Amino acid sequence: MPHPRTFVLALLAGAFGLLAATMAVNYTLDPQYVFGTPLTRVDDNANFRVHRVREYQAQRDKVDGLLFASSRGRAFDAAHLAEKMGASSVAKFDVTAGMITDHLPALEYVLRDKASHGEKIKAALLLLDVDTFGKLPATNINIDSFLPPELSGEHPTRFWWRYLTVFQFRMWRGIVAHRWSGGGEASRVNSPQIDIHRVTTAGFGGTVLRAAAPSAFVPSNDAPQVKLLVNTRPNLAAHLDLVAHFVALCRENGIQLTVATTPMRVDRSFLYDPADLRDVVERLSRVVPLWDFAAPQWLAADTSYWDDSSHFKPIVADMMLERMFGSKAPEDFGAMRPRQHRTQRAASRASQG
Amino acid sequence: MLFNSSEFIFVFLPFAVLLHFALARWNVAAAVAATTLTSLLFYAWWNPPYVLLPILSIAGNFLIARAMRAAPESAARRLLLAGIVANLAVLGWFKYGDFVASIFEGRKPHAPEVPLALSFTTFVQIALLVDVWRRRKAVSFPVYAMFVAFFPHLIAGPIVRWEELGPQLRDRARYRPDWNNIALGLTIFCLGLAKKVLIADSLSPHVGPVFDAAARGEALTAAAAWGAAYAYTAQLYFDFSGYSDMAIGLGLLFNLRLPINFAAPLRAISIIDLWRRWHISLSRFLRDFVYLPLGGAAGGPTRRAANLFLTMVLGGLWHGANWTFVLWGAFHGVLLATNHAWRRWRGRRTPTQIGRFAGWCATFTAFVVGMVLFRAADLSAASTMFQAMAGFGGAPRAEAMNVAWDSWGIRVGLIPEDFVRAWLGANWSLVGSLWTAAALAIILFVPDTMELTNYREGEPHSNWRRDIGALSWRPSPLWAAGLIALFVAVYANLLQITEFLYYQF
Repeated sequence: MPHPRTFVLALLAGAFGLLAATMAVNYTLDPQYVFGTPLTRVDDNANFRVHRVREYQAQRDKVDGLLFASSRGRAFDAAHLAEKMGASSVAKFDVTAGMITDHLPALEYVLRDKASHGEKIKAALLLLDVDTFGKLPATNINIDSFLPPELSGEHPTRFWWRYLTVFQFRMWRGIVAHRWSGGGEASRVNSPQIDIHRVTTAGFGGTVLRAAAPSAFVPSNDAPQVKLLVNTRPNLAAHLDLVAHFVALCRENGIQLTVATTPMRVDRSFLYDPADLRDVVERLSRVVPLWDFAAPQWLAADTSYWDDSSHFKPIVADMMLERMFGSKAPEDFGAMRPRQHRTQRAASRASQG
Repeated sequence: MLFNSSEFIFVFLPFAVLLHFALARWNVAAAVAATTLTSLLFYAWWNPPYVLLPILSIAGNFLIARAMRAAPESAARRLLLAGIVANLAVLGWFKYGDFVASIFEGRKPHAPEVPLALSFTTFVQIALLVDVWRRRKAVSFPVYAMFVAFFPHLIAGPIVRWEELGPQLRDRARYRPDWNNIALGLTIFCLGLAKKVLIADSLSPHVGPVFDAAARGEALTAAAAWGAAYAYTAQLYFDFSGYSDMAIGLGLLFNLRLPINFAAPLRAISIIDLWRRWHISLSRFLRDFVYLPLGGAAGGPTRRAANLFLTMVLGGLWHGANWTFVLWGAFHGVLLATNHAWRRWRGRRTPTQIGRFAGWCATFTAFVVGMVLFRAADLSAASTMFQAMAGFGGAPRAEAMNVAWDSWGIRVGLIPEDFVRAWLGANWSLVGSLWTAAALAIILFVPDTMELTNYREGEPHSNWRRDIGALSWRPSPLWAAGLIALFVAVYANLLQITEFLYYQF
């Protein structure tokens, strides 16, 4: 390479070639299913934050009920939920690793949108995961967790640029393998778990939280080899404020809001300090009355109720709906915690003491 | 917009460089104006309304400089003082207002929202005002505006001086593209990018949990505290020196040579030597505008020690409105004074190999200990870290793990679980230790960017370069292939965009 110009052109060709190839592959394979051109659609990889907004937009005229949840909310059937909530149609905002940081912008967007059409939302169900509440949110961190421009206020160009230029080799390989093998492989390769292993925050103070799920079901009396009690909840106060804001918005807009926690499988709950989990529920109950679905042993330890260590099956969702809106649910599953004021709590502690 | 973002690398940068040279073919003044505007656009990307601050600052300082040049001596001195006070007042208002109020109100200071680049542009403009006052030189507004706003150094330095960049900006020959400089610039930029993205950002998730636990007052093991202190030292070095490399590389794309900011400082064998090689442009500013005006070494050893101490305290305070920074500066002031006293006592004898090694050990360890103050959220967190480093952390065997880096190793039997729980604790890991050791090995044994590329600009006072022979950069196919491979690795890690640590200062 005798001339520096050749060197420069080689570098530029390499860099821009990489960019062009990345854009072409992202557009063709569309791993997050945001362009609508997937070679093979694998829902596990999809950006549900985008999809749920698109689905809402497609049926916005009919919607008068809302569900906000993490991926655990996928066990809920929209029609069944609408029937129980007394709504005509429910739009589900159940997003992967969804937290209040996702739910509040989604609610604000829907309210803005509905207000612009002179319509209202009748009822809403907010499901909160006690194990992740107050922790670092996945919102706007990973490629499958970016909020759509409607919710984030980000310029659409920036949003699409990100999805075109992101280098996601493992995702591409998984999709190609899925296509090659006729559909069985990629779902496994491209785990729906957010890769929080890589999460970093800007500047100082980046705590990385990881809760490694066991690869197989662990009976309740057999402790996992590595017990990860992730007690740190750096955003607990902020998230409680967001819940309070969420509740206030519903009240201002005449929405009948139901709040509930999601049940956890026994091996999942074993990863956490029970006192810490109880404390979160108690703090939430100071903000809003809520249904506490801490799972009883018969449900938490029985794999037939669970898809995996984190996600319960539709039968559990149905039981939750029955408990909240009906009468046929098991009595030991779900308890209503009325809004508890600080003074009441202190008095209750004093009487216990 | 960050240097380590795809929109900067593939959109903004090519646009800015092409616009600069395309307009320069037609008119140099247009190129200067365009690059000033693109630099302000770069700044506005962060927070559009705040772009008014550098604009007003540039205009205000230019007017003061022009008035000074025309004024008689006594009036010029008053103008200079007014200019310095005005610049420091703006900096003080944004950066130290709450800190000062917190002292009077007896509370903890809040983290201030300091406009990006304010600390750096304040120093650049104060240096220029002093230069104009001393030499009564003429400065044209367009060139001055580009000198201050030039985006490669705008946000976090190097803190350039007018005599370094001004003559280059007025040299018309520099407005024609130079393939040698572009080749060298792309190489240095790519190496700096790799330092930031591949090394500094990989250390960040190991550092955070330990310092966060210290901030919560949790007990730490000695291994965790020392490990995090070493890891943070390496992280800060790769982050900031990577940023400085990128700035130098970007300058070269515009045919402008910015001064070196890091000269392999963590290989220094004395704290004096280290400060001549770490953040060189800041050390130089503090020397010329604080230490020397205070009297420097002129008043004898005691006076020099006092001047050094005061200079370093102010240098610490410049990094942020927090007592941790004040203590960090004071700590380094004491170290420098001690080092000077040692030199006086020891005379001019050349150190032996063992002496050099002992000097490096002492220097490096002292610097790492100081980094705890630099990184800790407050004095209480720093105290928790120091207690743990001294072996008095009192951390019990960890029952709950906050990090899971070692979980795979434990599962497959590579890492003894008891060792992790008992010795490393809930927030540190063997994986973090290995990453840190690897980063330190790179610092000590791999030639740094300026050694590899033989870039010499500015004034490192230390003979720090090693002869690296065949490894030296040249625009060869091998280097092109290596850089492309490195860029692919960087690009694959660009999704997690992280700010540079020095953006907060």
